Amino acid sequence: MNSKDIKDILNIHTEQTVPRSSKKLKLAKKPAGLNRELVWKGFESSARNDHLQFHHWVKQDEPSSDYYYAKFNSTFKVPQLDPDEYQSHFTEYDWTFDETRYLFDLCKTFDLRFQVIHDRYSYSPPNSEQQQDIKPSLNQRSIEDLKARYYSIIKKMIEIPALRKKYNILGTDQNSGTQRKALALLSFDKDKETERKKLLEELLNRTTEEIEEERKLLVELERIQTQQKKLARERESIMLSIVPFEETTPSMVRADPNAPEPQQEKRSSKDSFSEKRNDGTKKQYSDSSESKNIINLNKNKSLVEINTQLVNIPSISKSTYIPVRDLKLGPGAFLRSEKITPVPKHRVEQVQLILDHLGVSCSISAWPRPFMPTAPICDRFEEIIQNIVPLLELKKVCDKTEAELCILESRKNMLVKEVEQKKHDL
Amino acid sequence: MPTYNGDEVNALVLDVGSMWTRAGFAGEESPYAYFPTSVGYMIDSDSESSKNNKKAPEQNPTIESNNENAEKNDSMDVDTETNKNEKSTNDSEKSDTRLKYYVGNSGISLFRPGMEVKNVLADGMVDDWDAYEKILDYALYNQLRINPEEHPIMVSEASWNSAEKREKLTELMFEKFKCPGFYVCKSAVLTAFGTGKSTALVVDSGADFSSAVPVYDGYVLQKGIVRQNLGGNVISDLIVDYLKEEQNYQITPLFEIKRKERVEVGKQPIFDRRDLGGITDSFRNYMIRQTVLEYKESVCQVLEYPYDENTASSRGNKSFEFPDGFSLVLGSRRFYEPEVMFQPNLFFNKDRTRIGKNLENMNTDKNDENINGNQNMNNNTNLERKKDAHEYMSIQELAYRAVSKCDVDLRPHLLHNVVLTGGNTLFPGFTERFSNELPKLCQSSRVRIHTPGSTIDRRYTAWLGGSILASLGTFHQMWISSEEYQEQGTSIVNKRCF
Ligand SMILES: Nc1ncnc2c1ncn2[C@@H]1O[C@H](COP(=O)(O)OP(=O)(O)O)[C@@H](O)[C@H]1O
Repeated sequence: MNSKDIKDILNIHTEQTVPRSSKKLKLAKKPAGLNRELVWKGFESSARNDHLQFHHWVKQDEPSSDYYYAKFNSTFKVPQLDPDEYQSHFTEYDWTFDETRYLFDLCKTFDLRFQVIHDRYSYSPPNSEQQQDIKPSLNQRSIEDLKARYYSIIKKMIEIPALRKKYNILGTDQNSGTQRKALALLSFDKDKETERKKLLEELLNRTTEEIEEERKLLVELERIQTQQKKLARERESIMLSIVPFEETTPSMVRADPNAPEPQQEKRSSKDSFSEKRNDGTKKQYSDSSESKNIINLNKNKSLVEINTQLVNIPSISKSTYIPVRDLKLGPGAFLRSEKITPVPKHRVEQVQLILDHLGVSCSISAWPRPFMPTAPICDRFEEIIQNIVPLLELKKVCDKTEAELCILESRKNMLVKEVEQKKHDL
Repeated sequence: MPTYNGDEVNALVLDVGSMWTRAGFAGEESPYAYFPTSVGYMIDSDSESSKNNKKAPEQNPTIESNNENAEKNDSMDVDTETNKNEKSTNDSEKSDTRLKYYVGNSGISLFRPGMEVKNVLADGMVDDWDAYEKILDYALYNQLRINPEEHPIMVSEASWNSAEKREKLTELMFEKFKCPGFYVCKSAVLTAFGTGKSTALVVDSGADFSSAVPVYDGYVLQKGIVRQNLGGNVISDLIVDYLKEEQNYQITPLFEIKRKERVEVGKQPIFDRRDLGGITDSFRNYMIRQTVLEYKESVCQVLEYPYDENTASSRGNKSFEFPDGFSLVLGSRRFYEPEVMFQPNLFFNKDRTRIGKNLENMNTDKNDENINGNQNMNNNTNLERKKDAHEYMSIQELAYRAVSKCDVDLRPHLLHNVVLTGGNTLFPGFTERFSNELPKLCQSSRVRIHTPGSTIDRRYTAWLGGSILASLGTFHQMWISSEEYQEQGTSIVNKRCF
């Protein structure tokens, strides 16, 4: 729709002068849609205190009512201060009634936008032409000062019963339940706010170097964290080799050093820590209070009595018993046959001979080992070896002694012959 | 008809900037009228005789290439008359001052012997109320062609406008124009609204000055305003200096040229001057400014990173021909003068005197005289006026300082809503450069620069904001009615419009 259309509709004929001068005349554009039932009608609004009448387009048959947009005129009620009440409840050492009222007026004008209130705040005490020098210091009230002042008064208006009735701030008079809520809502902690702003300011004023350093530290932190994860994973794989793995696998995989600290550990972290350290090889016995947090990983009851110790599994905040590590054994998996007492190198051949003699078949790598190193066989084998080696040892001593005896015997014979010879000579 | 948030109450929106005036109907997308805020005037001893002369003024040998003429010839000559007829009482008083005004594109850029040109605003505020009234007259009666008694009128003002000037404006609107409703709004707020924001840092670089104005929830934070007299005119002056010192060339505006010859690039122009009497310095300067503006629009750009000769010269050449036939092919130079907005210290000393060859080449003692002598054409230049002031700061620092003056809670919001506006930001590359520079000053906050869509929009963002605001249904309660004015007087403006 162009201006020509409007003029057609409105029956307006412009002077046929220069083309430039043809333009929309007195009236605003009719809303699009060429709605001919619209009329240009005067209206007033209840949101105004006067009778300003403007015109706008309305439907011909629409009853005139209050201006549609008047209802959007919502304002926050800032209470009017009363000098007597001020004297009895609201005095504060560096505030006057006049300045407080000035503050409240600004709060009303700017609907409690404290940023703007603070911006426009320039209070000068009345009849103070001679006190010009006081002004600057008064003007230096911070946003926090102004907020603290305003909210402390509003708070009192809720706390003091008489005032609560009168001002009914946030409807606290009708409903006592809202009182606490309202007070919480209106409480303003100036020191905390000031501190927060100070910190925020520092944050915003970081220099390039500081920001750069922070960035580097963050990278470093990330590096450390991945390192920690890796370490934890390694530790878990070791755990896997100690605890029967089909039981532990699921819980170990989830182990994460950054996971929130398990509660149980937090509650008694000190105790369980020292327990583990000082009494690491404590014998298994359950103490009923602890037992619900203890899970039994070893479901197949072992026939042998083994020493166990209690350990925490961090990821599930439970404890379990695991066999006490035999210090001789060292960590990790090993072959049972490796733990058979080694035979001294110079005996290997002889041991082998005796084993052959006894009909014990075995393999010889570094030292003799059974072909089928089951536990009983290993035990028997160990036993045999433990017999053979001392036997060989004894045999050696025996041989040595016998040889000595021989020598001594022949010496004796020689000496006896000599004596007999001399006797004979005599 | 409250189907959307707007409600047409037939309001008018007037945005009188220091360079351009925009006027139009609230609710529309662009201003109906757009004309210079400067006015031409001359002594008019006998209003009757001047009236007769007006019909055939000294437009004699018409300026060939000025195609605006045909179209806009209906401007002020005719219109002043209609005014006078319509409102005889007021205007007869005005004619006692014996100044005759010429307003509008053709009113001001048409040569008339003895016509002076003056700015209506100074420092963004109304300086010459007579001339200001003429601007409003022209906008309302000659451009919009409405009767102001039937329309509420919204007017923009500088964020730092004084209380007295606002009251005077209120008086003018109700007493002279008799409008039924009136409102005055800070142009920074309107610019923010025009960009769809109620909280923003509005960075505006115009002809005379640049400013950074924090706007919070539709209110200007007065204590955060930072501005300085570094804007488009300084760039223009630097360009004039460059032409003079390095090309040995002085601009002759189009209206003075009768005939010109083709000359080679860089060669002195060969042309004949029209034999005109009564050329005033102010008119001549105004026309030179227009030529420099053309130069700026056609060739100047801003580099996205601090000026560097090599980068600048790698961006290609552009040629420009002045009205007298003098022509230049410009390479890196195209990027140089606008750099003053980002690195004023390349051009100016701490006391705002020019750094550079022109001073060194002259006798030190006679420096000032020489500058004055050379620049008698431009005796209004910024280069002259601000010697006593503080060091110039870059536009990014201007913005940063404004933010720093605000509450720390607000700063991130402002930095995230920086609105860049004003004719002087229209150089290609200006926005990109500004977007690169500002974050350097505030590393720990996220900075976002918003520019109103196209370059055309950027010339009337503030007007657009006014158009939106004045057509909001909820704005109805804000107008100062004539009833209220009658009851409370002019001081109401300072209680209603913040
Ligand atoms: N396209 C453009 N490129 C560069 N500068 C421009 C352009 N258009 C206008 N200007 C410059 O912008 C300044 C006017 O800016 P503007 O915002 O219109 O003025 P103000 O806000 O002071 O009324 C002038 O100095 C003019 O030379």
